[in-house]
Amino acid sequence: MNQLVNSLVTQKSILITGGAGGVGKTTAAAALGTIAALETDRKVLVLTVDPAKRLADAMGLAKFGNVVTKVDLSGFGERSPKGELYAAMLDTKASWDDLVIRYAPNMRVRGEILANPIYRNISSRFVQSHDYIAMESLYDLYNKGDFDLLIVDTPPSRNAMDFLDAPERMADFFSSKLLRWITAPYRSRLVATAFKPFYQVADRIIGSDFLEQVAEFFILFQSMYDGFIERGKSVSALLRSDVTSFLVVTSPEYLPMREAEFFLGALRERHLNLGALIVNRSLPYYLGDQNAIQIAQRLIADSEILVKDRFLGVDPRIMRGVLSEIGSTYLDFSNLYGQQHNLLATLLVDKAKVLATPYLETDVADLTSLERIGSNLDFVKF
Amino acid sequence: MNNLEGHSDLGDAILSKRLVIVTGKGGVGKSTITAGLARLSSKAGLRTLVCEVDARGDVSAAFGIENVEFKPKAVAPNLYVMAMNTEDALAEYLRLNLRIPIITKLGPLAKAFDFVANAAPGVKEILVMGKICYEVRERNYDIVFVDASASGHIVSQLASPAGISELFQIGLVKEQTAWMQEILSNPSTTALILVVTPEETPVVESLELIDRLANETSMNVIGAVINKVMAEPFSNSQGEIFRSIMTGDLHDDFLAIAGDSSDAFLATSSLATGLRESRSSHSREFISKLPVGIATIFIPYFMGAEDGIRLSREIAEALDGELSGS
Repeated sequence: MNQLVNSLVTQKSILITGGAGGVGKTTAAAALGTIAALETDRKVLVLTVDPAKRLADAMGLAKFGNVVTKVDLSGFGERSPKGELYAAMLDTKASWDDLVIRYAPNMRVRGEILANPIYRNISSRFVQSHDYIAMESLYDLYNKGDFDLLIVDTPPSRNAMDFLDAPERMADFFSSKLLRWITAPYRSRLVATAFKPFYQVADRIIGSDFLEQVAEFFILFQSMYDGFIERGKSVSALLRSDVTSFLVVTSPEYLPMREAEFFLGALRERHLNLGALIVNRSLPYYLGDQNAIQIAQRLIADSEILVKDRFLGVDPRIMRGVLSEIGSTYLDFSNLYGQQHNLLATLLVDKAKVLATPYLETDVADLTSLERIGSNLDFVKF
Repeated sequence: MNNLEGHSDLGDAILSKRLVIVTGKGGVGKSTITAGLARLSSKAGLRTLVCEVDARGDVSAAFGIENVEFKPKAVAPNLYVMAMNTEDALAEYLRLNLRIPIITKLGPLAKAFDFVANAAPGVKEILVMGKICYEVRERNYDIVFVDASASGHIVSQLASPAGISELFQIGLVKEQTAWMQEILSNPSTTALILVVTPEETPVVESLELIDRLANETSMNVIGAVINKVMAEPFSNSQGEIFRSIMTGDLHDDFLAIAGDSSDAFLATSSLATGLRESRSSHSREFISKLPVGIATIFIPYFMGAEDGIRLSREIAEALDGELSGS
């Protein structure tokens, strides 16, 4: 196991992956979890938001949904695992309900919140709420202490920073004056007059029924205010502490790399710990070989001379075609490799924290390939 | 209306719409394909607007410009680009509908509305769709291309007019949703294009998305762009020779000419062949499971055309080739 990977999975308690959609965040999280459980004595939980189906199958998640499930690592033969691997899918609706149940001051409020149409909409559909609830569940799991290492795959955010700020945003949200504004006329007639202009406009736009539902929801939610603020602060503190490291995941392509750059900047700004930048699906180093590039050019340009007196029994024309195809395939990939490598070199990141996983021809579909990815994670040579 | 002759059925179908929404899983090249389609449409003489919904700047990168804002920016003849921003959309909406000249004058009121938009379910979604549908209705452009949100979120955006009209009993928003629904669900006005790469996860998720769109919205997927398709490196007779170079009689001769680099060459060609095989099988699977009525086109994987603007030009040309009638 790479030494940086080793120190991350043995010394940290929380690893959070982030990056653009489709770059293999979940795969990276699952691969790290798999090798950590195989090679260290830690009890590892991989918590994922929306795993691809085959990956979920590979980890045995399909059957169990959001319940924490032990992943069977017995398939690695004589290499019996030193630790344990668990996996769970995050069910945002259920997590919101848990939160309400925990903080509602009494049974009546709890029931009313759970039944409020706005709440139901927010908890099940509202995309922004996923960021918050993911961090919230993480905090909960950390405090329960059932696991040594939590590896979390973050929801594909529209904005890389959304989940980083989610706990604070939620706290701001509940302490804001605006919240009081909106709920004011439903609490007191007197205040209502002061905010009349707002309500006239609001009524015309969204209708008073809806506004009333929104207000009711907020009034109910305000009863959980203290719990939320307190909790938001604690979650933020946990994310900033030394037990947590962030892993920025990217593929070596242009747009995901731009997203990674953005994300690295967001971590720096917030003084959050960068554990590693993981470049998934990196092309092999042999594509950067200058000598090979020259020979490849010859395979194309001098194929006539090269096949002379060689490859006997083969139609020289077809043979030449094969040689120049081998040459140009190498040059194409080499060109791609060069561009990706240059792109990577421009990222503002500590080069000693850049790891790469190899380019696999096939999709990651089982624990064996997860293990392969995890144990092949290694430093990028610059 | 314009010179649309010489396009295939799908090409014609796309350019005959007023609103074309392009969606797909993250990483499949949605933004570059949107940019390519928009280039094509502007070249066909249509006044074209591209709207980037996820404000990540990927579409702007494809046109080689920076800092695209809510106000459309001309990037080429007939071609305008804008980035969606719910705050601006709200301000514009209020200005147009309530005749409040400058919303900022209202100070905290504007903030309050933004707050409601953030907090109340579906309000952001409806603002996004509202602005897009508004541009379509006002006919400021012949055609509007939307680089939509990645898979999951698009359904809630498209379903938002219907959803919100259930949630809101009265009010302007309620009235507003009716015309939006009309635009979105009219197959001669609006169409969805799905971008997919021939890889396991994008294929599975795209098929799921098609199902969800059919069940939860009234939108029509008319075409699927299979992006990053890899060419077969060797013909049949070449393939046989390649195998013999790899492990058979021709290996030593190849070693003699390629020297130390032999392994690198053979590994690269094997990688290319392997990728091609895996991709074509996912491609076949995708096409075989695609509901009838969805046309497909193939766009090659442009190796080395990594930066946004060059890639988008290559893709526009490839789209042109695929979508023109020949």
